Amino acid sequence: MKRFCLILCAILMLFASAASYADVLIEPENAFYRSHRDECQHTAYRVYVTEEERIVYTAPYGMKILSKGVGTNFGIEWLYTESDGSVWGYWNDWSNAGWIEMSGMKVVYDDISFREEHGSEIVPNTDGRPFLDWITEPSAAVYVYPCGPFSYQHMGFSEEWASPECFYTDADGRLWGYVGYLYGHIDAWVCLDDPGNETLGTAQEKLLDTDYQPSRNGGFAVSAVFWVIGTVVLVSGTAAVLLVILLRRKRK
Amino acid sequence: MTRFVIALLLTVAVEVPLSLLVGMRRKELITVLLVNCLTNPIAMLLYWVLCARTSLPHLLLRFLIEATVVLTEGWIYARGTDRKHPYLCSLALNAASYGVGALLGYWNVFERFGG
Repeated sequence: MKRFCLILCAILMLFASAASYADVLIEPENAFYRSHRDECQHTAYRVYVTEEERIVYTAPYGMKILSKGVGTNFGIEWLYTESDGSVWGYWNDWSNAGWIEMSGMKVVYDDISFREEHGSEIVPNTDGRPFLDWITEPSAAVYVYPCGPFSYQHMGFSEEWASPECFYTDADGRLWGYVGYLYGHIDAWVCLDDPGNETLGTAQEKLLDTDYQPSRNGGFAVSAVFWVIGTVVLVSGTAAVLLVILLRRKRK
Repeated sequence: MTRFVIALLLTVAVEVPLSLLVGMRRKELITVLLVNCLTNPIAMLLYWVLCARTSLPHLLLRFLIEATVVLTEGWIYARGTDRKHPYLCSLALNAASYGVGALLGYWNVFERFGG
């Protein structure tokens, strides 16, 4: 039995080490990622929306897996920059996964956007006051950012939420508390003055323009490819013609 | 693009002088130069495209492309030079240029030049 447990532990550790590093960073289970691991960049998880049909590929410029229509959300945290300058994101919704080109994508307003806009109004919890000072009910409504979209109702609330990392006071004077990570959810905001209320935020997601790279609008990627192919054809073609002439002369 | 140019210049810089060491005559150097101008850009382009378009391991791709280059150059040397062992000659020259390229890549020389 002990031996079985040891083997089981070893197998589990192997699986864990193959798919992740650090504690919580899950690496993509993707052939292209495996062969380009050092060139892929991990970024903060953000959700992007496409405003045109978007194709999901096995690899950047690889084979098509499926296409997604206008308004599809893509959660992205791994990026790869192709040699032509185009940026690709790895998307995984647990039933489908693949690479999508990031140009023209709009980022959904999130905690990062909120902090960029309201950073100066967010104050740290220097006293270490616990959530339990405000929350008395067993559940609390979690928001993506203060007055933003409602995320989910966190049930079984207890001392696990030790204390908020920081606070924000909204325009209506309500105090909000933030924790970075909560049972698989990141960036959780709770209205401390009205913890159970799910209707404090906006129903609609806000979108921000992102300009990841100029390939689609500026035509950079296409022109770069044509430049490379054109130069290769010119150099190799000239060499081939001269070689043919040389070989014919030698025969004579 | 820079990487393509560096790769071609490096290959020519290694293979042309080295071809004298493997017994090529001075007038055959032009053949070596042209052969490299023919195969190197195509090999680089193929590698670039296949890396992006397929999930094949890079080492396997390199091996397949290099093998094709060695055979192509050997075939041309067999017709364009007086070498007794043109394929062996091609293998030696390509191994040398690949080795130098790999060493420079290992030292990140290409990245330093923005390749």
